[in-house]
Parts: sequence; C-alpha cells; structure tokens
Amino acid sequence: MLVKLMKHEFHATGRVSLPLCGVMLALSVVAGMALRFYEAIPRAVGWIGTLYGGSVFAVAVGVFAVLMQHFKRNLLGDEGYLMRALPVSIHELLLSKLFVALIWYVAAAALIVLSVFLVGALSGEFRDVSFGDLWDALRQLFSYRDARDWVVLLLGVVGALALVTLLFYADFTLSQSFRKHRLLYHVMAAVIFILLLRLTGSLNALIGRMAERGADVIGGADGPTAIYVTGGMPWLGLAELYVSAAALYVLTWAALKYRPNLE
Amino acid sequence: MSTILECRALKKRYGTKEALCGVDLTLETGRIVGLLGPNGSGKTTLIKLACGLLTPSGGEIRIDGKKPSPETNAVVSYLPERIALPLWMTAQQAMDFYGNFYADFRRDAAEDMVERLRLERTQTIRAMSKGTREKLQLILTMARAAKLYLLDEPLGGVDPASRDYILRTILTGYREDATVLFSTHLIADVEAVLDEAVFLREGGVLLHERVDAIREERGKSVDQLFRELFAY
Repeated sequence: MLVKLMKHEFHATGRVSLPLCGVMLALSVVAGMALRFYEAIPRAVGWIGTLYGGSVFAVAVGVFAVLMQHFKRNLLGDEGYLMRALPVSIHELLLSKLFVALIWYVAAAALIVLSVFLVGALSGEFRDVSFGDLWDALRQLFSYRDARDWVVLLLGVVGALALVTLLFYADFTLSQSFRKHRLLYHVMAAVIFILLLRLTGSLNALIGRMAERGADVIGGADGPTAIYVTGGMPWLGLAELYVSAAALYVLTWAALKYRPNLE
Repeated sequence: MSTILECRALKKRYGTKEALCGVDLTLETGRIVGLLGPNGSGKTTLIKLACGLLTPSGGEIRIDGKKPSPETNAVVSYLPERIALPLWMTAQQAMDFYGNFYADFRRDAAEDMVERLRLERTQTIRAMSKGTREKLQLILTMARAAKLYLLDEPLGGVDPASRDYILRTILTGYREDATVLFSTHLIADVEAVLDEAVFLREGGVLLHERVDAIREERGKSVDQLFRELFAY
C-alpha cells in the first residue's frame, strides 16, 4: 500500500510542481540562448535573466509549498475523510508523504543545477571549460574525504530535510488538533519546536566541546581531528538530527491517531 | 445472521461537550438501518467513530468483532457528509483511485452507475456541481462490495429525481449479507427501504426498533414517530 500511496502523492503534487520545473528548464534554455546576444539587446536579456531567476526561486519555494499545502489538505482537510478511511495505517500515510517530499527536494535541486548548467552551456560560457579538468576536480573532491565522510554528509542532508518537513507536519497537525485558537497554537508549536531544536543543538555543541577538550588532553593538538576522522562528532550530530526527526514523527503520528480533528 | 457493528457504553466528548454518552447498539448483517435524530444528536459522530476517524472517549465500538483499524476499513464503505474527493481528480481518476486501494471495488458497477446518472468521466470534480459531486461520491461508495456501508446524509444535496435512482442503487447495489447504516433527515423518502430505525437524542439511543414493528404495533410511520419523539 505504501507504493500505491506514494504514486498517489506524486500524482497529486506533480500537477503543480512538474509544470513549475518545466517552465524553469524552458526559461533556462531561453536565458542561455539570449545571453549570446547580451551586447546587442542587454535590457531584454536582463528581463529574461530576471524571469529565469524568478523561476528558480519559484521551483525552490513552490515545490516545498505544494508539499506542505497537500499535507494539510490531504490529511487535515476535507480530503482527510477519504484518506483516513482507506485500509492503510497512519504510518503508511505519513511515510508516503515524507518519502515523496524527500524525493521532490532532491529532484528539484538536481533540476536547478541542470538548469544552471543549461544556461552556461547554451550561452557559450563553458567554451573554455575542459570537461576533463572538471572531472579531475570532482574526482579530487571525492578523494579528499573517505567514503565514510560522504555517507555522513548524505545522511546529514537527508536527515536535515526530513527534520524540516516533519517540523511543519507536526506543527500543522498539533495546531489542528485544537478546536479553537489554531493560529495561536500554530505559532506556539513552531516556537517550542525551534527552541527544542536549538537546545538539542546546543547540547550537541557542548558535548562536542567537552569531547574536544578531552581529546586535547588525551591526544594533544591532534585530538579534535582525531575525533572527527574517527567519526565521533559527525555521528553525534547525525544522531541528534535523527532523534529530533523521530520525535517530531511520533508527535505527528500521535496527534493524527489520538486527536484527529478534520476540518 | 451475525453482528457487524457493536457499541458498548460508547462515549465521545469534544472538550466539555458530550456528543455520545454511553451508546449501546448492535446491528446484524443484512439490514438497512436508518440512523435518525435531530441536528447535534450524535449521528455523524457515531459514524466517524465506526470508521476510525475519531477515537472514543469511553466504551468501545467493534466492526465485525474488531476495533476500527485499517483492517476494518477494508470492509467498511464510508460516505462522508462532505465532498472528500480531491477536486483535481476526474471521475475516471476517482474510480482508478478506489480500484487501487479497495480490493472489493467493482469497476463495472461504478462505470454502469456513472453512465446511468450521465456523469462525464473526464470532467474534474472541481468543475462538477455540488449535486453531481455527491452522486459521484455515492457511486464510488456503493460500488464497493463491502460488509458495512456507512452513509452520512447520502441524499442531502441530491435532486428529487436522482433520489429514487440513488435509493434503488443503495437497495440493489450491495451484497445481500451487507448492512447499510445511513443517517438522514429525509425520513419520508427513505422510509420504504428501511428494515430498522435507530433514533438518537442528545448522544444516546432513544429507540432502536424494526420498521415493521413501528408500523404494526404502534400504527405509525417512521416519519410520524420521528415528529412525535422530537416535537418542540
């Protein structure tokens, strides 16, 4: 059922997000071509550039806004009467939305990078770029850190995206579970969540500093580096990220299960 | 006959307001039951509890012997009082959606009803009138071969001409061993199809009786009895 729900999510959110991405890619092609004539028609090219910039912004903000609006309407609004009566668990409903949101973030980021590349390639700015050199630079970048560092980075990005998404889900769901003064609860929940996240972040930093001091005492000047390379600090940060995300997930799930309050 | 829906001392509170206060109710399979009562008597709350959209504040409710869950949702076909279908969907996409999620969805029956009620398959729900949206939602609900149909005001926004067809659909479109529980204010319209009537007042069951008994023993129609029980 999770796969079926994800298909439905893609269908529902893609109706708006896909055309947005399409417009951005089309504008990147136009902007790239137009840049060749910058000296002849600078003002027109400037306008096209602004439009392209706006479309990049629209994709970055629009994809997120569509996902959040869909969550609210689909689980907390009228559509909730349909979705919550399906033979699926609340976990499946929540996870399908979370997974689809993460895929959309990655896809939107990749499309934005592709559109920038298109502008560069079509405008002729990449004329002097040697792709061999570019490849070497990338290889160098990847060889600078070992595989474990890249795993940490990847998990960190995914965890941070999940955390932000779940922060909004929890905020919407908890404030919706009250019958009155929802806006007030909405703001209160957001403030409390952010303060809690800052607190866990500060705790993490404190533990980090203590570990650094300990390492300094034990290992001298190489202490902190030794901890970083052995993976002590990043894993602690990751654990904080995932524990916070899990806590927000459980809050959202509990509010949907025990305090369902459809509009 | 076996029990399909059972409530024991079922309670539901919204803040300080008690919407249901200790409902005891048992419904057998193969019955058409009218859930009747004035506004605020707890009809919609009872139906929402049965499909797991609300959690009880006390007591228990069981569907086919189990607490409301995804498992019971697979055998319950629920028609909410409002339009819950995503407005961007077409009638065709809505049928696909039901077909995807409900193993008991009868596509041919849905197609047949869409044809008879002259709904356009490619029209989006957003573009449909309120009555047409309600018809489509009812078609999708009744096209399932469920064990229990929970219909919350199925005739509310439907024109009188379509009402007869819809009632016939409710009567003929479901499994013989299934139970249909529907809430309505249009008692005179539905009286002929009811096997039993449950009267709710202020969150409690005031009366649960066979319609035959109401007519033969009390010498009244369900509509007359309703007016008597809830006269101001």
